[in-house]
Amino acid sequence: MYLSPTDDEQQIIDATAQTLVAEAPIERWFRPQTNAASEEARLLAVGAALGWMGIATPADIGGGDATIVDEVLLFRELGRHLAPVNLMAGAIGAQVALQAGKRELASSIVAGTACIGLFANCGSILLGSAGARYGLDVDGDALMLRQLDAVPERTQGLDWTTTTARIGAPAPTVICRIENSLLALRTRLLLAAQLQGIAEVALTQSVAYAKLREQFGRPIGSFQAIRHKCADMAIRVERARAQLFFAAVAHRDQPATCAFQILAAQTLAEDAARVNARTNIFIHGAIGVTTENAGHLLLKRSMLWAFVTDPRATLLEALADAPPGGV
Amino acid sequence: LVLFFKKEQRKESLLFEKRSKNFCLFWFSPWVAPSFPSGARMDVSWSVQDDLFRVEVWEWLLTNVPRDKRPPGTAGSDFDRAWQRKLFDGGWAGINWPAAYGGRGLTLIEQMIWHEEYAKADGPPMGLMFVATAHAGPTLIACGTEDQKQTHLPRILRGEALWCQGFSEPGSGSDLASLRTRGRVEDDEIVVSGHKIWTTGADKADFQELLIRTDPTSQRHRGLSWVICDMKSPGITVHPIRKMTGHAEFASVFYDDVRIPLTNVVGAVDAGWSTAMATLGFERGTAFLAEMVAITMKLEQLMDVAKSIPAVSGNGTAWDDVEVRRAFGLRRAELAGLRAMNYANLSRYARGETPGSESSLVKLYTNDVARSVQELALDILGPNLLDDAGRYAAWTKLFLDGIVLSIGGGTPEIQREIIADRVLSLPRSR
Repeated sequence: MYLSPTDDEQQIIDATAQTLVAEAPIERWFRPQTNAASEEARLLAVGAALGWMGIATPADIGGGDATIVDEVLLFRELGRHLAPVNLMAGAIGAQVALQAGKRELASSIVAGTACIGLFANCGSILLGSAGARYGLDVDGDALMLRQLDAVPERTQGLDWTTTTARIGAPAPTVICRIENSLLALRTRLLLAAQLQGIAEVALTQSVAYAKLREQFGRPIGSFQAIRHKCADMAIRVERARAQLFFAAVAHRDQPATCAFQILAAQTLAEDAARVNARTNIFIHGAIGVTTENAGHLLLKRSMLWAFVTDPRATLLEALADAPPGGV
Repeated sequence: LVLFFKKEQRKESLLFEKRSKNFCLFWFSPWVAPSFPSGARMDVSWSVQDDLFRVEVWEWLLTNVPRDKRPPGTAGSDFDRAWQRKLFDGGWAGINWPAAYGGRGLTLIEQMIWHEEYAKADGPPMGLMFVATAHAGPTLIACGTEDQKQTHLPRILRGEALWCQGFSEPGSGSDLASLRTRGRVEDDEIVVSGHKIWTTGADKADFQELLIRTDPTSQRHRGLSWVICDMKSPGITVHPIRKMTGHAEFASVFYDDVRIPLTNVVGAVDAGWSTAMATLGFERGTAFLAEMVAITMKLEQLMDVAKSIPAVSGNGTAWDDVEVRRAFGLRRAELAGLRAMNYANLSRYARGETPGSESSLVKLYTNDVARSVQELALDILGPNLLDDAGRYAAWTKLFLDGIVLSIGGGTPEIQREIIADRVLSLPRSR
């Protein structure tokens, strides 16, 4: 029993964090020339060069052969920096292609030459659509890659950092389809990891602002109304992080019984990200509702990640019906 | 951002080191901080030794957990002593206390396993032994003299000494450092005068962990002393106070020139604040493991109730209501998160980190989850709860106890203040 990142695991976190501070600071979204499509293309290339999408795929398709735990630690950092959805779609998409026997496609996904978009739960919205040649569609335990033959109809997405398109009927052709509950659970873990990153950034930003911003001649962080909100954010972060790590390790070591832990991790991470992102805006006050602040980006991305698999109500019912979480 | 965060973390840990040097707070787990070999990774499985230990615990509990219910309130004091004695005879007292003082000398991991199996076996609450085993004992191990340890620790483990706590005063609740009960040093004695309150089990306790102001010119947390007070000393008067649960476990304690030997000071004279913080750290660090496991068991029991009891709406069982099922799902997720949080903290302690203010997060969250489970019980049981001697009376008791427990050891509001100050380093509000 050891549930806190070890030195080796911390190295993965630190190395990724260092790269992302240089390559993808959140402040990049305050520059007028930054746009979602070019960011997606640029960071897909950065990620491919650093092996992000292939971190946990076999070495013979260009992957890093690491475990789901390492992958979760990586994606938590990516989530913190609002990295393109194509990275996560690529990481799962490569596994889908591989398991469907399409090794070449898997290799080109890992290498960043085949860009994967991500279908929202409704099936009619494609996220990260600008450069996408395929779309990852997760439906229960079924994972599909759909080939995007026609250029998708671009629309303005809720999340300004993600290119978004409408996909009409009939749905694009399925080129790989596998049924694999463990891979579906892995998708949930990567969603939870990125939501966790958002919940943590929201707390960090709130605490930093509460120390800086003065009203009534004092930093607002000295007012209990603000302090107690921050304390509650910290609890949401701590519980979701511990559960995320627990669930990731369970997926690696006890795959037969990990479902409950992963559903719990996804639920707690969704709650932590959504509520912390919203609270962060309130703590910032008026500046928090403007585009001169990252608050709205965190909130919108937290909503995006929550709509990739089942809605919260379904998650909660599944948790109630599951056998009690073991390990 | 990440760099900023790391810088803040480093600042926090430096601050913490400074603080822990001032305090006599250190962790006494005999676990040697493991140095990780290259390739070490997080792990949530139990070792073979852990599993063997679990079986050993389970088998012992199966034959030894008392069949009789603990009498409620302070009437349970003899029950508490007898059960502690039985634990001691079975080798289960002070699982992570050093063997030199009669403990098992095991790690916090084994302590955790014990709590899990104990709750599953429906072991009785520790009752009035709680302060002795979860507060006073650990504090003496960390800060006491050899003589104090030899005198008190074995007696605690054998169930011969019940302890109570004397921290809060009528004017000093959340603001503990404002306390005014005075201790005048006269030769080799301290003469105590004043008034403590919310002392659970004062009328049955043999000893008290008593926090007093020994330097009359001092302010706030300076000039306090943590002393062992013999509750049979002349000059002590106890007035029981009845709680909303119906039991008079609380008391006001009056001190009228009570003489306490100077050798009973734990830590140094006038340096009692650091001893007191160690005491609260122990309470907040691991004392809530048992509570966490107990709530988990309660939630599963409540699910069984929901599947059999008619819905308050009159249609089918409570379980047929999708809102009820979702409420169970959310609480299960929250309890999973709480367990993982406890495991994560234990892992860090096992690696040699000192329990710190993060334990306020665990205390606050444990109480929150407990209350949300208890409120769900209200929704499901409805008017059944109005019969306080009926089939579901235990749930009413649990609901009321949940509120009492949330306030004991520091209100939710003061826990949030501690988190804001010490975990998040926000500017002080006071």
